[in-house]
Amino acid sequence: MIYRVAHRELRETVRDGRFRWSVSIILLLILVSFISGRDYLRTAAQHEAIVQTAERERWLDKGEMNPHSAAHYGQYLFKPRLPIESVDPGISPYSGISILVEPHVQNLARYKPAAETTTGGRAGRVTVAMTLQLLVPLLIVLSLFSTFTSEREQGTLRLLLSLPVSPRRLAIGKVLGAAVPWLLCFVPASVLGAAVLIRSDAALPASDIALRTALFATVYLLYFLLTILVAVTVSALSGRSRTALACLLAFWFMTGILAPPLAMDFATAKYPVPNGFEFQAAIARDRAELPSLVTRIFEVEERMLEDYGVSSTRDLPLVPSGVALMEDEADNTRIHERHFTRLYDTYEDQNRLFSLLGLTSPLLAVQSLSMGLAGTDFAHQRHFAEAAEQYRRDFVRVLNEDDARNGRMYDARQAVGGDLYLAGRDLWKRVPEFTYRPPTVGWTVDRHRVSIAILLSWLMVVSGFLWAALGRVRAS
Amino acid sequence: MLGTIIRHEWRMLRSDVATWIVFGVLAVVVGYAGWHGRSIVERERSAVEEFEERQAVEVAEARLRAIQMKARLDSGLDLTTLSTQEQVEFANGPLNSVYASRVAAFGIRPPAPLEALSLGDGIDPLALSIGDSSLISDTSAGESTTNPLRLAVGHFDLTFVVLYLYPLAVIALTHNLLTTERETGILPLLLSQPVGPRSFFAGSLIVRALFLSAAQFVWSGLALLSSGLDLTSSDVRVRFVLWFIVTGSYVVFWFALSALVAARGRRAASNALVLCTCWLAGVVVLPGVIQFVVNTSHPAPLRSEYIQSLRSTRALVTTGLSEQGLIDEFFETNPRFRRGPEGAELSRRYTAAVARFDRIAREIQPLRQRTVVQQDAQERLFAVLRFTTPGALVEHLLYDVTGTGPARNRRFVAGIEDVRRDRRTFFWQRQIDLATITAEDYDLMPRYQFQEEPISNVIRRVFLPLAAIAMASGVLVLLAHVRSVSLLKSANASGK
Repeated sequence: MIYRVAHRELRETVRDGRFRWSVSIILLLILVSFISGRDYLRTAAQHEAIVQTAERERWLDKGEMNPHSAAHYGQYLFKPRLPIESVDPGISPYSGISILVEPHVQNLARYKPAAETTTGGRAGRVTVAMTLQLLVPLLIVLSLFSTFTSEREQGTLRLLLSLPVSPRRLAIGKVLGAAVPWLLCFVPASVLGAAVLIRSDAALPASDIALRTALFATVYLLYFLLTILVAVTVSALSGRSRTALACLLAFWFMTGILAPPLAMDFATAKYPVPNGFEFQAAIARDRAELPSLVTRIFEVEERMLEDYGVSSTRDLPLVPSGVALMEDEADNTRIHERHFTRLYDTYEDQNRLFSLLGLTSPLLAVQSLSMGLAGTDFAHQRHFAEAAEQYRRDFVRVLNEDDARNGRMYDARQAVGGDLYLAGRDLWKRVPEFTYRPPTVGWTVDRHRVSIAILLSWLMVVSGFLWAALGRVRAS
Repeated sequence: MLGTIIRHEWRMLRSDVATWIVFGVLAVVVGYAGWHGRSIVERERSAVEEFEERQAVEVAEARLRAIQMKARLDSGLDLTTLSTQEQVEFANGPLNSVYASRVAAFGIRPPAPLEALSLGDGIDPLALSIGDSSLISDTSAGESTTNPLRLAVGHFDLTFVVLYLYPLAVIALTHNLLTTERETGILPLLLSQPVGPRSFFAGSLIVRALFLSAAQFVWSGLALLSSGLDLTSSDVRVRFVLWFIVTGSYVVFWFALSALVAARGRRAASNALVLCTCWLAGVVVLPGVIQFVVNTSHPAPLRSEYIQSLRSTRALVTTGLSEQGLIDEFFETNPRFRRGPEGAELSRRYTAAVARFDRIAREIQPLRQRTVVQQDAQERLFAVLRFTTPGALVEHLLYDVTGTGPARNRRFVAGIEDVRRDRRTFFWQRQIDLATITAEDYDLMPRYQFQEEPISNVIRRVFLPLAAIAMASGVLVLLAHVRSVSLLKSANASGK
């Protein structure tokens, strides 16, 4: 009987012109946004890789230079993009594409792609994720709101219930009948998309990308299933199609449009971050308490002369100015680390609360998971920023150490400016190339346990509701 | 008879609980959004003011130290008698032109006049360097520290409320226009009275229009109160009036569309479905598609291209070209800076540094120009395409009247670029001449002061889109009138 009900539902859905039209439009939107997103991503990633290589070449080929001056020359580091980013760009357009590493300061990521356009609006760019998160659920709602109510309004529900079939089996049939056409559309599309993504160049093995893509598709299929269950539940509980439609549209609007900005407002109010001025002023305040570099050089020189019991800096094993630079770097690193860690921790708190508020809207959990699997959430951004910072410390340390051993930048006491020490390619080669490997899918899943739990909870709760509601289904 | 219809409609509307729920919920939401905008802008404003103050103190301190150091020099101070540390201070301190060029070297973009009503995208920094360092790494003091997820999700501000919720409120209040009487079966009864279809249509429309007008006044008043706008400024007053007109026009548009959909003679639920589909297409999908088309048609250079250009030029001027070659080239392209024979070694070093900056500025200019050209092309295309959807049209109107649109940031960046050029002229000559910086120089050095756009420009810009909305609304009402009159006539004839 379940099969018969499902078959009938399936036939009706497929015959429905509105379904065919809307699915065609959605698939077209997905296809166009996928191709365009992939093209943009490929171009951007290729260009970033070229710049990264060029940065290394420039670093090695810059001739002779004082090591500390070379450190100030710095390097731009780029976060590798995963191919699945073309499906869900997440925060990528809003976080800088590159981090400049240089001495004394830790930098925020710079150059936000969203700033490339001058016409940015709230609706944002049409992406595959946006289509899957907003439009598909709406179409599901519009095609299923009358699942039970139309039978009730036409009087056929009485007939159905008089047959030897329980309302629950009837509902299972209807859910299957409603879900299968959507599955028939989206599963092949997902498989096709996954095949394209796996073949793309990536900083991760193909197996990781495949797993990410499979999980990504699973998350969305669960979300669609959840929407189907909500639609059928509301339809089963409503007396009239009009009421069911109003309730479902309100649900879609509240969970899809209202919830994300409101949840973010709540999260940012609960965990405020300093604005750009405040953040930099706080760092500047802490740095102002450090001695100036000139003063520090004098202090270090005094201390070293005393420690080594010599009267000239020429007799010291290390150059005081170089040691002073290293100490200054260590103090500055500590200050920046404190402020950046606090800032990033606050972002994490905000994002965690945002995901947790998925209890009020499943879309929030889905968005978090989707961005995570696409490698475009803040956790991935932070992972990269921390790797870049570690590289910055090593990069500056190698150069300052060399300066301290061989340099003669400034002999404070005797006011003798020795010839500026110049290093060359041998030293530049000792600074290792920046290599970054994005975290694996396991790491990602581990960080999104809350969102996974919330999505599954929604499924269980709504299934429970539907089960209970079906026990109360009446013909009128 | 029109009065009777109006009274009847008003009774119907008043007795509908949904009317008051929609009205109340939107009032609460408007109040919250205004308060939210206000709290964010107040914090931003105080941070900007604090930063401005810090810059002013920095200038005052440098100026004072310059006066003191100059006085010591004038009194015959022998620098060689000073400690090395003091000598360094004299050589590289406030009397030095390079030092002076780094004092208070940021231009600030203050919050927009009506930013509390529209929080903008928060992507662009609030302060940009006006010094030469901008040629090396694009330093920005007020670089956004906003959580990128916050930027991606957007704010729940009054623009969000107007853009997404106002149409839904209008739909909720008007989707059953002309249908309740038919669905409840009292239409034939009403039409059996001496009332023409035109009067019936006009009466129904007038009541809803008056109610929506009153609601619009109340909601705007709440927006004004909760956002804490300072109406003592005439600029803010005019902008708020424009904001009121834009939001009012948007309400009128959706009302007119509702009337047309209602005039099809379908059931209220069907009307709601059609209107919701229009809302989805006009406010959510089409603006996204337009942005997609605009960006794809005129892609701006990638950020990585910019980095590449900046870095390769820097490498070229640092190690790829000879110092003398750079200096010769600099004087050739900037003859105004040449003053007599070349001076001391120090002057040569300063000149070489200036020449490097000059070369970098010239090298990256084409890419900057290409960005501007592409952004102009994007804007031109968008200016045409936005007329295809009320969402995009009104959203950018709201940005325009509140002053939070991308155009304001572009003016800021252009203004910063002008000051950068002025400062180069001011400081480069002094650096080349090894001139000692005086207190007067601190008073005269070019600084950036953000100037709001004249309100007349804004008025001129919003006129056409507003006229388009008004015209579209007029056409919709006219069509609704024609259809509803014929519908009512046929209903009267058939007695349904």
